[in-house]
This record gives sequence, structure tokens and C-alpha cells, in this order.
Amino acid sequence: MNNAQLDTVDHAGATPEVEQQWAALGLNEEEYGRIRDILGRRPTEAELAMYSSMWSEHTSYKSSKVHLKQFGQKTTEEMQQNMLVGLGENAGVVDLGDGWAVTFKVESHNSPSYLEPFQGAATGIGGVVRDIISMGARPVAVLDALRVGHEDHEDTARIMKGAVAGVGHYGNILGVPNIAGETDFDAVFQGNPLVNAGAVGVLRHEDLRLAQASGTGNKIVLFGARTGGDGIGGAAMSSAAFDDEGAANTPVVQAGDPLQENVIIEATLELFSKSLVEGIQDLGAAGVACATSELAASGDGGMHIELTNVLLRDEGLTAGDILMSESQERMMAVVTPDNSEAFEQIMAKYGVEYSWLGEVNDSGRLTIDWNGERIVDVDPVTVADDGPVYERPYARPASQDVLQADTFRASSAATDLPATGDELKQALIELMGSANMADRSWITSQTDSSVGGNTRQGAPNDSGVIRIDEETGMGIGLAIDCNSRYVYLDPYQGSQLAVAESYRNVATSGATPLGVSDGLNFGSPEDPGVMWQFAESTRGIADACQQLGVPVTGGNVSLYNQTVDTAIHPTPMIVTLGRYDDVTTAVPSWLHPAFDGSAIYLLGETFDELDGSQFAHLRGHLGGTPPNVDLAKEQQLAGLLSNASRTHMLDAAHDLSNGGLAGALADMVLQSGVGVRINLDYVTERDNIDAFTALFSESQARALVAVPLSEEVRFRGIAESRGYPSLRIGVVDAGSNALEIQDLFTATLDELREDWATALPKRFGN
Amino acid sequence: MSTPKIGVVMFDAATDAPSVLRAVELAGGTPVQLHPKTTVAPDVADLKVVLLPGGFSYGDYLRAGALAATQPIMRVLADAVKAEELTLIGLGNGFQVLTEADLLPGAVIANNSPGYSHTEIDFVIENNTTAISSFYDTGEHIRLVQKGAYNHYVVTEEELEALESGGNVIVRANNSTAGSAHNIAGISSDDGSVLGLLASPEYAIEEGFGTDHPDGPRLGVDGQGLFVSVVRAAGAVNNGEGVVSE
Repeated sequence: MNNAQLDTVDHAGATPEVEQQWAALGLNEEEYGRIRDILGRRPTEAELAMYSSMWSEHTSYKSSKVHLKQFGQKTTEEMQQNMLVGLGENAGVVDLGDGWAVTFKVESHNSPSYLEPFQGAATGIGGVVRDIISMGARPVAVLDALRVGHEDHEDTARIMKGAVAGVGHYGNILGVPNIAGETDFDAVFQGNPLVNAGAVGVLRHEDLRLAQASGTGNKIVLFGARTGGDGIGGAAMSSAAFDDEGAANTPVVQAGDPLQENVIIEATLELFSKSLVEGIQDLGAAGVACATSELAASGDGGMHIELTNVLLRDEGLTAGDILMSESQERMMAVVTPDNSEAFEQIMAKYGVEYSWLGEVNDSGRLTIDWNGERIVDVDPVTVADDGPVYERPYARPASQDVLQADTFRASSAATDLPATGDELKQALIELMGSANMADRSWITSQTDSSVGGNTRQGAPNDSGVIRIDEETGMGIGLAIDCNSRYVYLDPYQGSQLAVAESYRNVATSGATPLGVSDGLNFGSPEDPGVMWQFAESTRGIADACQQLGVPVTGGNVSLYNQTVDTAIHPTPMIVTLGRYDDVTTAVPSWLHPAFDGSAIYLLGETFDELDGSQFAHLRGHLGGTPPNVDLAKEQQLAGLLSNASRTHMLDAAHDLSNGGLAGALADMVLQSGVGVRINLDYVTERDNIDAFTALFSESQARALVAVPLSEEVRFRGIAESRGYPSLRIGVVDAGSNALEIQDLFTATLDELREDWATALPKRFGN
Repeated sequence: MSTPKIGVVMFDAATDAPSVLRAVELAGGTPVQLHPKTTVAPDVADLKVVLLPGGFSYGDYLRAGALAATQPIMRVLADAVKAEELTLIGLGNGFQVLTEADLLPGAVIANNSPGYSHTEIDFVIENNTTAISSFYDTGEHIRLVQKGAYNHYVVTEEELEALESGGNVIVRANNSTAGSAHNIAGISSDDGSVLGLLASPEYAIEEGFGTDHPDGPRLGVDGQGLFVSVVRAAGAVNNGEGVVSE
């Protein structure tokens, strides 16, 4: 770079009149003005790049902050007892006992995944894994949640093939098992798919470190991959909606190198275990700009960096480029001078490149030099923490009333509902052959679920289960869920339902839920209707978590998910983490031939709740209000389920969600090809509903369990003593090779399987 | 009774290595981690058996196994095999390293259905006289995880004929769609000193964390037999009842 053109601090001070491209960097006039006020001069180009990245929606949470506060406010002391680190750090840390702790997080990588699905999804996994290792935790599992457009739209195959392969590619080479996930197709995501990646890591209490730069004289080091031109401006991109021009002006999507990350994981964890770092931070959005300002702001407040020391992949990068680059697989650490030699030895051992960039001081300023010239001189707190905070106006859109008034039952979609046995059978076959209900093997077989050897269960189960302590069998369960259509119909209630489903899934597999992390995906916060969805959704999540007694331990917000004027359905992905004393007590969500003869019980009651259901979706209807939420019941059900599986009363347990009882029964019989005989009369009589409603309603707080005959007395006993509605509706008849609903229909497994098994491969397969 | 040492080469991103180490231990062996840059024979000298674990050595960035095959330790291991001092075994990606290193005939190419796939496969033991199969019966069916994008074994007609007639086909897949010649999944060199298996037995060694089994999900531990065979080959005194636990 030619120093003559360099926009130094002195030059900026002397040339206040220079016009700067603040708008192109995503800042508004008021924000730019504030930067000038803070600095008492115009910012240099490098400073402007830094402020614009750090004050972007993606990094600063400027529109969401005021609503996110309640997650902390609604966390009671009792809920906090298991939390070692709460909100605000890269990821919250939850105590598991015996000196073990776990940290988990979900992050969005939506816009990169639309532009370049493979790399976008791959680096989504890479980024969230680095968040985990920067807490000193070893990643033990990843998960992913995808929202894509209509299954038959021509662009959907591009997104699906790329994103699924990308998630697999990165996690597989890292050697971290993928144990949970979900995928939903809906035309509303056509131009703005969601790719959310989650990771969970395990650490010993003593290895916990927080990202901060303390201690004057400590050295700042950048290690891992070299810095290139990829992803420059990514944070700003993720803070804008795609326009009509599509991707023309957007920057290059960053490329991932999982082999490099694999090595960085080992090197980083050795740094932690040998106590060689004071603080560590991964480089994600806004790269060096973000890492230096955040580290400095959370430490003693001063830091000096020689930007010319950054190792480059491309020598042509400008100082601003280097500050903003989002090249992957990079970490920044704070190391005492005494430990610097030992640090270098670890880097040499793993063959990781590094460069010393500068040191911590007590100046209260973050200063950055480039070729001997000062290009940044700022108070880091103003960059990292004092960004704008907006109380965006929000209002319930008038269209919401129209939407809620349009109930399924009153709509034309409810004409000719299936009633006879044959009609119900055809409806079931159609439901299970639809993209949203079909077999997920095409997706899940592209990821390595067994690597590590600690996977108790992965997909297709209500939750993934991983052993953490080989001696005791202690481990965790994880589920990620959100029914975006419910949230769209009622953001408050729908978000509570997302929490309830995720919580229920973890309990169904036998774990005790401990905490949740959220990935909030919404449209533009500048639209008061979207902002209302966001406000309602966060309130719903916070209230639900408070009532269920599980704290929100961390999260991520992704706004501006929309094309021109069409926002996505609001999608707060909820990851729930639960604990097992012994993961071998976990139960699968499907029937195995070995469960032949076991009794099938339906827990919970069924009401006429078809608004927003999969059945309504099949008929192209979306309106009304989502199913009622009863968190006290959810809590009761969870207690019953985790107690029953812990005491070995259950062969299998599956929660009822998408597709209701019909969907859950079909899920259970199809995985391993095991027949059942069901009598619906008990359900229709007790709950006063018809067979169609019994099969397709999506009432909450329900689950199906398979109970071995030897355990039936005990099981009935605890269900009764807990006062939970429970009906014995049938038996497993493995040899029958059919799902028989007595007096209505018999669907052979082959009939059910044909479309179910081929729906995804025929659209997206090779 | 001393437990036999089994070398395990820790290629970068050989993601199955941790599970292979555990499997060796559960089978009564003592795993010895070997660095791929090792060029010193003494590191290998007191080992009778070395395993090349699977995964994605060097990210499979060139071809599966290609970069691993060029690592300095491979020369040391090949020399020890040639000197009839060592049995060298590749599992999964490790098989690919052995063909890339010309220590086994043939090559491994992309699956018939391209892309990574993680599945459970039924295999049949064809020859139970080798260092990886002595614990099994010939004709025994075992269920193991097979994963990766490259489990499709190809070989010339002459070599195939030689493998079959020489009894060098050890394991065949019953239901793999990878596309291998004669469904071959496991082979050995003529003298039995180099063996490869296109599967990951290390994920079928513990009840509750294994493959599917008639008695229930994840109860399948058919991979134990392979590691018991390996430990035996390394000079183990077996208690006659199978797995020697810790």
C-alpha cells in the first residue's frame, strides 16, 4: 500500500472536509455524526471501517438490545444456580457437576449461505465452533437448523445441496459429531433461507477463561490462518436486506478450511490446559477490528497494535481491508511476556502460524499503526460497547387480525376433510410424503454422527445425546426447534411453543432440561410490524423460560432477513440442553423390532387445533391462532418422561409436534420398519373429537411412549400419581409390517414408506 | 501379564483416531500414539502392529489418503513391513492411505452415489485367519459403520483374480452401495502383513454406543472382535472369553 495515500489520524484531523462513504458502510447520518463527536474529528478510513462494522446490527445488536435485556431480568436466582457464565460472553456456561461444565450456542449464517450455500453453511459451523473453543471448551457436538424455500422451487435444490454438504464437510473434517437438527420448507424463505449452526463444548471448571485483555505489557497475538480478502464487509452485509439487484454488490463469501480449524482446536485447548493465555477471542464478524476493540474494551482499556505484523494471504490488502477481513480459522490471544516462548512452542508443535501484533497498555486508547503511521486512535469502549441503541418503533400490524381471523376450520381448505378410513389413510400417506415430514436420511447421512465414539443417539431422534464422562456415563441431550408458522400466527405464543417443543424434546429422550440458547431470525427492524414480532417473540421466550425454570444462557440475533418488502416468518430457533446422570438411560423416538409387544400410551389431551398445522400447510392454508400453550403441563410432562426413562420404564418416547398423532405414529413405525395396532376410540371418546382431529391436530404437551409389558403397572402408577392424562392406545406388533388404526384403516409400511423415503432424494439427490 | 502395544498413527484430521485408541484399550491393548513426521525407526521398532485410523487425514484435500501416504512415517512403516517385522492395518481412510502408498493393490474412488455418506453396513467375514479377523468365524455377519465419500474399491481384473484366489479378500459388504468390485471391503497383502478395511469398527465396541442390533438400538458391538484380533496378533494373551476389559 502506498503510504502517501494513507488516511492517518493526523491527516484526518487536518482534513475535516473530506467526504466519507459512511452510507456505503451501512451507517446512517446520525451515527456518522456521533463518531465525529466521539473522536472530535472525522474518523480515518480505518476507524470508519471499524466503527461501521462494530456498530452494525449484526455485531452491536442495536435494535435488539432493549428487548434482549429481559432474558437476564427474567432469570431468577434459582435459575442461575447452574450457570457459571451468563449472557454477554461468547456463549453461556452451564455447570454439569463433578467439575464438568458445558457451553453451547447457535449462530446464524443466513446471507452467506444464500450467496454460496456450501461455504456459507460450512463457515457457519466453523464460526460457532470457534466461539466454543474460545471459552476453553472442547467441541463435542454440532447441530444445524435449515429453513429453505418451497421444495419444488428451482433454487431450493441449490440451497439444500450446498448447505447440507457444507454443514457435513466442515463438521466431518473437524471430527465433531452432528447429532441434531431440523429442516423446514416454506416459500417464505425462498429468497432468504436460514442456516443456523449450533455447537456444544465441554470443559473442566478450572479451564474456563473469558475473553479480555488485562495486564499492561501483555502481548497480543494473532494465530491460525492468514488474513485474506474474504468476507470483507460481511457484518454490514448481514445487516441489510437483499435488494432487487440480488447479490451484485455484496462481498465475497468467506471460505472455510476445516483442516486448519482441526489443528487450531488442539492448539487452543493445549494453550488453555497449560494456562498460557490470559484471554482469547475468535475472529468472526468484523475480524481484527472486532477482536481488538472487544478485547481492549473488556480489559484494562488500552492496546497498541502494529497492523503491518498481520500475516497476509494477499499482500494487496489495505489497512481497512485487514481490519475488516472475515478470513476464517483465526484466533486472537493475550499472552504474558513470560509465557510467550511457551506459546510459540505450542504453535510450532501444531504447525500453526502466528504473529505478535502488539500489547496491552493503560492508555485507555486502542491505537493501530500501519507502516509507522497511526491510522486508529480510539477509545475501544466507544467502538465495542457504546454503539447506538435503538428503541425502534413497533406496532401490531393491522393485518394480524385478518390473519388470525382466517382459521383453518372456517377456510375453504377445510372442505372435504378426510373422514372415512380410506380418506384418512390417504391423508396420512400424503402427509408423510410431504417435504416437511419426509425421511431426513438424505440430510443426516451426510454428516458424521458417530465420530468421537460418545454418541448415544443422533438423528432421527427428538434430541441428540452425547456422553461426556466415560466413567459415570454422565452426558447431555440437545434439541433445536421452532415452528415458524406458529410464530408468524402469534409471535408471543408461537415463541413460547418453540421453547416448549425444544424443552419437551430433550425431556422425551430422557434428559432434565438445564438451559436454552436462542437464534433469533427476523426481518427488518425498521419495519414496525417486524419489530413487533421481535418484541413479542423475545417476551414469549423470556416468559416461557422463566416459567419452565430454564435460563437463556446466550444467543444470536439475525435481522434484515427479507427480500424487498417480504420478511421471512419470524424464526426464533430454540436450542435446549439437558443433562443425564447416565446417557444409556436415553430412549429413542422410534420403535425397534426388539420392542415387539410393548404397549403404546398417548400422554396429554387432544383438542381441535389445526391452525398452522402441517395438515393445513399441505392444503396451502396458514391462518388462525397456533395451538394453546400450557407450560405447567409441559413441565409436568417433562418430569414424567425423564423420570420414566431414567428408571427404565420406557422403550421409546416421541413428542407430538408437526403432523400431530398421525405424524408421530408414522415416524415411530417407519424408522426401523416396526408395525403397530392402534385404537383411536379411547382418544376420540375422552377428548370428544373426531378421528381426523385426533390424528392431525397439533395440540401441545403430548407424547407417545412405548412401555414394555413388564413396566406397565409401574408406568401407570407414576402417570396417575402425577395426574397426567394417559391413555393406552395400542401395542407394538413388529411382524405386522403395518400401521393399523383399528376400524379405520391399515396402511402397510411399504405404502407409507414409498413417498416418505424418496421425497428428499428425488428432489435434491444426485 | 503385559498388555501388547499397538501403534496408532495420528495423522492430522484422522478424526477416528480417538475412538481407535479407546477401542484398542477396551480390547486389552496399549495404544501408542505415533506422530506422522516420525522418521526414526526406534519409535516403531518395538511395535508388532500399527494401525492407520480413518477420518479425513489432511482433510482429504488432494485425494483421500494421498497426503497421508507421503508422510515421513509411512516410509518407516513400509520398511518395517518389508523386513517382516510389522503388521500394518488401515481402517476406513487408513485403507486409502495404504492403496495410495502402494502397500495394497487397487485404489479407492468416489462412491457410486457421490458425496459423503454415513451408514451402517452388514459385512461378511470371508477369511478368519488374519490379524484383523481371527476372533470371528468365517461366514459370520457383522454390522459396522461405514462412512465417507470414498468406499468404492477398484482393482484390475488380474489383481482381483489374485485377491480372490489367494484368499486375500477378508471382508465383503452385504449391502453397501459404494460400488466396490465384488463388494470387497477388507483385503490383505499376500503375506498378511498389510491389511485394510473400508469400515469403522471403532464405532461398534460399546453397548449403548454401538450399531443397531436385534436386541435394541446401539447395542451392536461387532467391532470388538476386530480389535481383539489385532491385540492377539500383537502378542496378547487372550483370556479366551473375548474382550479383556480395563
